Amino acid sequence: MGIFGAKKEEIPPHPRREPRFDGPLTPDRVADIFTDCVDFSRRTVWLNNDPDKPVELMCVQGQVRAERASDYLLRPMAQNGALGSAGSPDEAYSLMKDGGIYALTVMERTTLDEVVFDLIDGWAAVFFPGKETALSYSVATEEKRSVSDPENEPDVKGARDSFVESVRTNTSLVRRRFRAPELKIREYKVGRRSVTPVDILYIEGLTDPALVEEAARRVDRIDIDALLTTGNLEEYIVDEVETAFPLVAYTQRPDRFCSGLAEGRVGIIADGIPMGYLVPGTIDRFLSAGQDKTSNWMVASALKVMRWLCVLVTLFLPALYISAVVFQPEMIPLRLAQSIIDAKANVPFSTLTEVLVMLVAFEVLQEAGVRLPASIGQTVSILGGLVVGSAAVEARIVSPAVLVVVAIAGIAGYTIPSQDFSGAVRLCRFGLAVLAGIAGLTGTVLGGIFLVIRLASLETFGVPYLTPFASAPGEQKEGHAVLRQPLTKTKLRPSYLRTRNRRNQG
Amino acid sequence: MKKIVSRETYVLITAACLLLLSGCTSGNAAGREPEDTVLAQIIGVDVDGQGVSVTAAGQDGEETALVTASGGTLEEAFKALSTAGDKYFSLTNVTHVLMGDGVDVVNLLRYVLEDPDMSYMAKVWTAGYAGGVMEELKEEGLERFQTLERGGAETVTVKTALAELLEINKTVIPSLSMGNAKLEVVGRLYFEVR
Repeated sequence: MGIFGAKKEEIPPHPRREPRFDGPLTPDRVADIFTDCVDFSRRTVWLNNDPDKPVELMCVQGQVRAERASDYLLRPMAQNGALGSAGSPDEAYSLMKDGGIYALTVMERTTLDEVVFDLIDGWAAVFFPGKETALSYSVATEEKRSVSDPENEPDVKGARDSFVESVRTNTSLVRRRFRAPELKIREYKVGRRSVTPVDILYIEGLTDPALVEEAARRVDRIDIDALLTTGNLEEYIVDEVETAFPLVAYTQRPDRFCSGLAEGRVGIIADGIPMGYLVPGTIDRFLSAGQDKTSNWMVASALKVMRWLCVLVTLFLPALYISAVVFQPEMIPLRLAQSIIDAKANVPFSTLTEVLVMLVAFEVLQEAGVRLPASIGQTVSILGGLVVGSAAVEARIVSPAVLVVVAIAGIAGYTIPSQDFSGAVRLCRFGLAVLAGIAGLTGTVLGGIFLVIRLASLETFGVPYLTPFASAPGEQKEGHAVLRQPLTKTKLRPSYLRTRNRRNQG
Repeated sequence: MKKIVSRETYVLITAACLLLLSGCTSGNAAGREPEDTVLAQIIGVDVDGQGVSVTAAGQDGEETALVTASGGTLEEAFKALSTAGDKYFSLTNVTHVLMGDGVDVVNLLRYVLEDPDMSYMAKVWTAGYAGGVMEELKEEGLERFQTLERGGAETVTVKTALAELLEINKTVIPSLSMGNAKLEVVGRLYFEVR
């Protein structure tokens, strides 16, 4: 029995069954597979209305667009005289494959797996009597959320489109920005039950081929039931899961995604997830915002510096407050120290307890605000922040200084563009506060050292996580970690991405 | 890659570190909650036949808190100060040092300079009976020193006074006395070390 429960049993191998469906490709076999599927549709169609020339048409309702199937598939099948004059099913089959039907895409299928997944993807399959092949026509519905504003990453001067849940729409948003055919898109199917398309995007001749292969290998080896959430993808492709810090960057914005591709990163887009991932996800990606490249370089640099300072504030301020008040009061100016002492006089809890309670309360308020509808969420935040906060101070449950410290630390945390990174920082903040409560500045410093060591030990797709502050052995350290250079002077791509072509402009 | 350290080991190492840290007070100041602490701003040192007595004064809410501790030596008296009152008198914010008659000036200044809590930028004054002056200050308020400084009273810091004594064997320290029920600068005392 270990600390975390019973020792785990050895899990036996769990090989994938390939092919998933055995047997001959016949309409009856396909219908068998879709038994108890109310949305499965099978019907007989007479070519040119000739009862002697029946074919079987199958589709999954809801996945196909009915008008498209009727107008471009059923109507020509029923009315095209050429199909009626075909001497044999083979001849009719050839005609339908080679232009007798007004379909942009037609595929000849020879296996059950192909036909079954075509049907699920919104294709219609046509079977001819006596043939063990089928023709699949793309008549998929395009019902999906329309491209809208990137709500989580607003940008005053930037583009207004954002990724949606459809992988093909998302790749088209990227393709519209990268018109060069060097933009390559590979597709993998992930999830034994969900069979979700996951696309890997890169720029041939620029992106490090080893990085592309590594990303492809990691996506391909994902063996789960269903890829339905972001975590399903992230946790399976990162180098290490025993860290709260995100190791892959994500964005809702196609323009930021393309910017990452142009740097030499590999993009990953999964169907059903309205965002694109960029790997490797080094620490600077999580502290840069979309507006960094649209603002003036001096303004952007100042904002970046401020963001980094805010990370330090949100991480260390509660711990420093505890250290200063409880262990090293000489750090605080006399009048401020006296004011803190006076305010704390009637508060029954220790400073550490006060800070921890307020930090937890802050998280609870935030969580409540996120879970509730936007209008109610704002009300909860205002009620919690103002009313409960001031009432707690008046009731002498917490001292005003603690309220101010936790509020500043919390607000500083909101400047971090990545919610995942912000969450990790908030988690570390608790640890540092406890260490400060135990050993003051010594504990805070030890906690800080431990954090830096841990971050330095992390890698993301073979690249040190702390890049551009750190570099892999033997590699040149990147400059301009915090400040943004004028774009006209940024002649080279980051070296740690090992791009085939480092020069990005003349 | 095979893991060298298991998760359980990580937890045990972390717990051990926390335990060690909790006892790691020798190189680190002991923590005290602010409401249990009085920030002493003024200390007075007197000597008598019994030894040395140190009086510390600081603000405790609206009132001026005062505590006196005695010992055979200056070190013992200062050590006794931390446990002399209901609250802990922190010496980290001492801004004024009052020196009674007969105090070994070099020893006192050196002690203040070397103490990790007290600042060598504290102002040093002489007073016939420092403890008595501080009792009077309890009524008048600790702000009196700021009033004196704003009124143009010459001051000398612990660092300056000790440096002069060690380099040129002499220094001049302002002298305080109660007059008209108010603390006032009544002159300067000349100290010389032979």
